[in-house]
Amino acid sequence: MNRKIPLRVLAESVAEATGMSMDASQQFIKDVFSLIGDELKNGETVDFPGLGVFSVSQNHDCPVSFKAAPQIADDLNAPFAMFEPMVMGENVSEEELNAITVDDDISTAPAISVDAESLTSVPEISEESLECDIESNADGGGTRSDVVGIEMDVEPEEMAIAIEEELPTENMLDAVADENNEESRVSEDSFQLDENVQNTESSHYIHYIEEDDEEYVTETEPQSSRFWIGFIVGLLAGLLIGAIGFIAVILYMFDSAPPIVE
Amino acid sequence: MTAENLIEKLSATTGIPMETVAKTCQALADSVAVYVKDMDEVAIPAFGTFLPVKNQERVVRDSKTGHKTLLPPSIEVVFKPSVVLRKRFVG
Repeated sequence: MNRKIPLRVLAESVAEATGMSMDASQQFIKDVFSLIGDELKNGETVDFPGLGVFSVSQNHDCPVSFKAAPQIADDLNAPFAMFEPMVMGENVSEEELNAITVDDDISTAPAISVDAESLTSVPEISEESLECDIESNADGGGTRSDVVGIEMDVEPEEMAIAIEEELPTENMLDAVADENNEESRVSEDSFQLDENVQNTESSHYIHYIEEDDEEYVTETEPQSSRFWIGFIVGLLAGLLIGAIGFIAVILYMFDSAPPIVE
Repeated sequence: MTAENLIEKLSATTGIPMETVAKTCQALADSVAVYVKDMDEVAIPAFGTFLPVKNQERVVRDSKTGHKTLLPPSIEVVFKPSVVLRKRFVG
């Protein structure tokens, strides 16, 4: 990407595709574009098959104009093929387009109002869990709108259905199992239980990743032990070189000493 | 000059059979297209450079009707003639 392809590289690819020699391919490319230049000089429009159309323009800075072949243009613009020109409204200005920002903040989202009709169409709710929650609402006497954070303008029976919609099925089964031991709980406990389950799963997953050692990581020796190993090896090498030098000097002195004349 | 005329003239100039010339021209065009698709520039000595240019999406206005249209991004192949070719036209 963003490279400048010279003639040699282009000739190599042409030679590979056609089986020509490298020199013949290079010479052919020169001949082709030399001929096109001559024809353009004569004022002709040249249609190069598969590449595009060259024509002469009146622009002094760029006397030759080029229009790529449709096949090349389509292949180049394939990533943008799903986009089409769109006619904008008359009152829309570019400043307004630039001012549009995507707001991902949940706190600024509009309040959700729950319709009673949509709540009655909740599928797959067991009768036992439904009765359990209806009783809990009747005993508690409070609404769950403050817990769930949803505006509800419905009757207690319909509200119970809404509660069950918010709760996962597993939590419903847990609530039924604990029905005889304690007062049936409303969604705060269930939500906390659900969060605990999720936290347990995520912590287990993270723990698993931490235990999984990477294969390419090898344990390295401490820096201090490396230093001492290097120091000892250097010391031994120095002693060895010194000993050899000492022996060499002694041998030289004894060999070069004048013989004793008696 | 059509593609057939170009191939005939090339065959006459180089002495290569027309079928071979047509095949080689197609290979040359394919090679240029491959490099341009990779957003590379293809430089032909003494002729010019083929370079891909990306146009960002933009808003255009029809001067007659006044309608604004949002155009999608696009990539086009631009030919930039070399100095040698430009001098041939000036001289």
